[in-house]
Amino acid sequence: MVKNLINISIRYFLKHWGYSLINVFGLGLGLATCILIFLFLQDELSYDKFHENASNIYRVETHIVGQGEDSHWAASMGNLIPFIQENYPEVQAACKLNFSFNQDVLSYGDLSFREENMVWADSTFFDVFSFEIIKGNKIGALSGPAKLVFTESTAKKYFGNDDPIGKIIKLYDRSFQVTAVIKDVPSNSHFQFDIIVAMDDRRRGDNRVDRSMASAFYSYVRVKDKETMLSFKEKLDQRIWEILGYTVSGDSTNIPEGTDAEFILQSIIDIHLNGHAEKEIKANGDKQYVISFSIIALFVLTIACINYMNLATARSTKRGREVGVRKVLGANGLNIFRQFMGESYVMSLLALMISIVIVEIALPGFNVITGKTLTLSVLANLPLLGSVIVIFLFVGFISGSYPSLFLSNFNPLVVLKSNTISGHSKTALFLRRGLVILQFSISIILIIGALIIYAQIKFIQNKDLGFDKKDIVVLRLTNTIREEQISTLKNEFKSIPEVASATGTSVIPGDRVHFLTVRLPDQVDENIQTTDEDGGVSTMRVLLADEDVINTFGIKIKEGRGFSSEFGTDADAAFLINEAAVEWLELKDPVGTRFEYLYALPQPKKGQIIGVMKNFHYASLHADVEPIMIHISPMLKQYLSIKVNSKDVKNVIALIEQKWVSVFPSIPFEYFLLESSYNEMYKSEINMGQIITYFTFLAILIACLGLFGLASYIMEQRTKEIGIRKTLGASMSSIIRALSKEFIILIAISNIIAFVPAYILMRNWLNNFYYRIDISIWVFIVTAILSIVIALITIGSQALIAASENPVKSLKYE
Amino acid sequence: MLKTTNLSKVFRTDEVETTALNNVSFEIKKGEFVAIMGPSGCGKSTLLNILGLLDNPTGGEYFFLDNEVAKHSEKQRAKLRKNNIGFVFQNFNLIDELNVFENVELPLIYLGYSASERKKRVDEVLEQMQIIHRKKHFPLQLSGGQQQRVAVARAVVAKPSLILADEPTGNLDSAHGEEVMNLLEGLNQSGTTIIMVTHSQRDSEYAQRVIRLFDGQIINENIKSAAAV
Repeated sequence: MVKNLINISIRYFLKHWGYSLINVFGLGLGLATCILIFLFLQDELSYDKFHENASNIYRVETHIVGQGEDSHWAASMGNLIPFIQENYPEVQAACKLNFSFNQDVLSYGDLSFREENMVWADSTFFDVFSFEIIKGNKIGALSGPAKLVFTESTAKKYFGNDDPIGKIIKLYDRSFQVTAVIKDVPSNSHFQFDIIVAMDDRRRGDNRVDRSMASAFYSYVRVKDKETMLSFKEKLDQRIWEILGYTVSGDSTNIPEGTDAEFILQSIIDIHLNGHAEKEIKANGDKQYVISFSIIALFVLTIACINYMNLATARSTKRGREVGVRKVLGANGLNIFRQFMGESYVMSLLALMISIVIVEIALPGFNVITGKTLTLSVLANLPLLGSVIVIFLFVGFISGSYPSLFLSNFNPLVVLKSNTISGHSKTALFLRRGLVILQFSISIILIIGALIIYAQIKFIQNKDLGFDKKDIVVLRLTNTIREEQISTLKNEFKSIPEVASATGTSVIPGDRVHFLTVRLPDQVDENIQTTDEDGGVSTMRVLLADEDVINTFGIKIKEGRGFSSEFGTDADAAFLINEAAVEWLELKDPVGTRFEYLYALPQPKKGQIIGVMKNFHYASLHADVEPIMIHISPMLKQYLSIKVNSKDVKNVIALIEQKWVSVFPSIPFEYFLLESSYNEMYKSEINMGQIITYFTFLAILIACLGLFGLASYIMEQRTKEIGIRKTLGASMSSIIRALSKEFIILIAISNIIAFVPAYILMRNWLNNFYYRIDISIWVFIVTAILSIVIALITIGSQALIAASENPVKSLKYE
Repeated sequence: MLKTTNLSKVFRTDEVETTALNNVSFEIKKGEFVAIMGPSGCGKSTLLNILGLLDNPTGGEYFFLDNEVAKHSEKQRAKLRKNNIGFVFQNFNLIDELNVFENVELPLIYLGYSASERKKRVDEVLEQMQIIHRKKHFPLQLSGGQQQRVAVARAVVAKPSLILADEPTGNLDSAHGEEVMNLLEGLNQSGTTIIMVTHSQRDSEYAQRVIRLFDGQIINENIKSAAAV
């Protein structure tokens, strides 16, 4: 029976190889898409699960609501972890991390590298996290000053094959000892690093790092279970104002009125997909994509299954005689059902094999787009294997169910008599049309989605940002570079005629801009009893720069003036704010308003607002422009941005490099273009757009394969009709029209059905952007025309062949 | 073997009512070889389908092996059919994708025979039909006569007590036709009841009895009649 089944399946396949190939290839493409998406989702959902106690590790985050403010920070203050360690024995381990702002240069002998991914961590790091140690001992690895832990590849970079343990590395002109080597951080970790530096090194002399009120740390705790976490959170929340520094020795008068604060204990396994707080360590993934991709996978699979059902059912009418004979010979409905189901599974198995080949071919490209390093090892990946089996069983069943039922219910007599089953049985026809409509509706939704995403990305990229990101070369500075050296370098650059201007800044547009403390003495509420020093304090985004920042970035001044060395006082007493800040601070006459900057200064920097900048999009267009202040400061300089006035940017970069080497012979030269780093912000949208475009293309391809097969089948069935029409004098064009009409109506209906869900889906997606396009009616018109043209080409070719046949030949078929 | 009383069959579409069989009564005994003759559209095939349990009559009684089967469901009929009746068609109705052996094997598969039993029986019957040398061939690689021999082999492989043949020589030249008729005659001589619908006077001479139908009614029923229509 099984042999008989496989035999007949294979013989059918070979006999009708064109149709079979379309069928199996379509299903294979559908399955391949699903496998790719599965791998993507599996990776997205696997973040941080490699830690032994992953589900019991939490990051303590701060959430403050009140006075028009709703801030949820991933980062917390330096005093939090010591407080927890001291007061909550139920916390099994706690550790804080601090990521290096700047790139630091490490050197070993003659080797020196800029290290971008350094993290400072408490000695309890390995009690919370389980990164695998491969050399050295994790106990004591980070206790005490001047200790470092390397990842495997970093160790290799510095020491080659030598044993790294105990080796001495220079950092900040001091000696650090390598105490352990861990495996490279898995790509599915929400934080990445190459080097861990012992936080204890910062505790030399004093414990400032444990008293720090700056939200520059990430605090992690490990508890026994969820209940412990909940009760711990409750207890911790009771003392939140004390931790935040508002309540000192029981005096709670400083707690801001109408403000609520709580700690959020964010499970680390949720950070990757759900972590969208302020100051996340890095841009996390997005649950939306996980959902969107799941939907797409389902869509594509549905289309592929429908193809199979439609083609198999259409073809099966050709097999009516076979079914009739089998029934006359004693087969019952179940026998027939089993046979066609079996064939469906044989086909699905073939499709599965094809899909694995497709995935292997597509995976490198898919990895480039998604920025992942996915691999296909079906046998080693049990969830994938399980899902593949489930999908295989499901697809085989769904694809085979209708043809099987359709055929097993035939009356043998009818079938034998007419040799073919009429494909025009009303239910069959209705169902087939319904399935074609469903298929095309899905494809049309995808087309509309792809068009709108594409339009939105174009809109973002072309939107007037309020500053000029073109032709700006950005150099990375290290924190060993002093302010005078930056000035020297800038002067050097001025000797290059193509350099228009250059500015050293703390961050560049597209980066996260720091939240720092400022104060408006004029806004001190007279009703509240405060000293002159405390009133009007708030935090806002602050860019630290030099006087060339406005020119270099092409920021426009709306009121007042920009920085200028002519005044001589700008470095010490001038502040620029943007329009959003004017509104936020409710300033009627901003220029001249007294302003102070307090962050990390022994004495506040006092001065006044000298000008108002027009809003410029220093952050993503996902959100409205936030208030920002720019002032001149030598601190936190990370970048030197150079505006180039030349088409030949490459050549100018070579000149810039020469100057750099002359000033910093020992610091590696590193640069990038502002435009490309700025566009990184939309990387996930661009990737999403690309992926959706590919999948849309695939979906249309699969749907067209099905349409092609179905059309060729129907043309074959209508050869007699075509013959009669031609004998009666019909022209070729009128025949093609007659043959294509039905399909065009189906596609038109599909369009109408698809419009509403597509509109709703895409409107929701666009709502993620503060600045977004309107969904234009043209998208729908273009899609409708596009889908009909694609369908016409698919069907037309078949209709043309059918219509150009000699009528005698077509009539003979009878 | 079987007996009909006032058997009738009426086909109805929305507007038209066609009477294909009108009060047909006859009996066929075990071991008989009966030919049913008549012009096109006289109801021969309808009668054969009802006798072969492929269809139900709209009126009258039909006793098959002493069971009244006129009102049987398709499921019940199928069960009786596969155990007792073999079919031979004018256009052979072999499955193109199966080879000779597999075609002949089919009825045994549906009867649930084991693979070894099937092989034995199929080889036996192919030997008997002198087509064993072609058992790996596909129908389209065979001549019409060979195809019909395969079809006969398939009809008898399950050892049915009744064979229904619908114009078995209709698609064959006279030499091949004779071959097939000789096969049927041989089967009849070894005890199988045969009912054959035919247009051919020559073929009808193999039968012991001819039933003549005209417009759905029996007009003549005689043993070894020489009378032409």
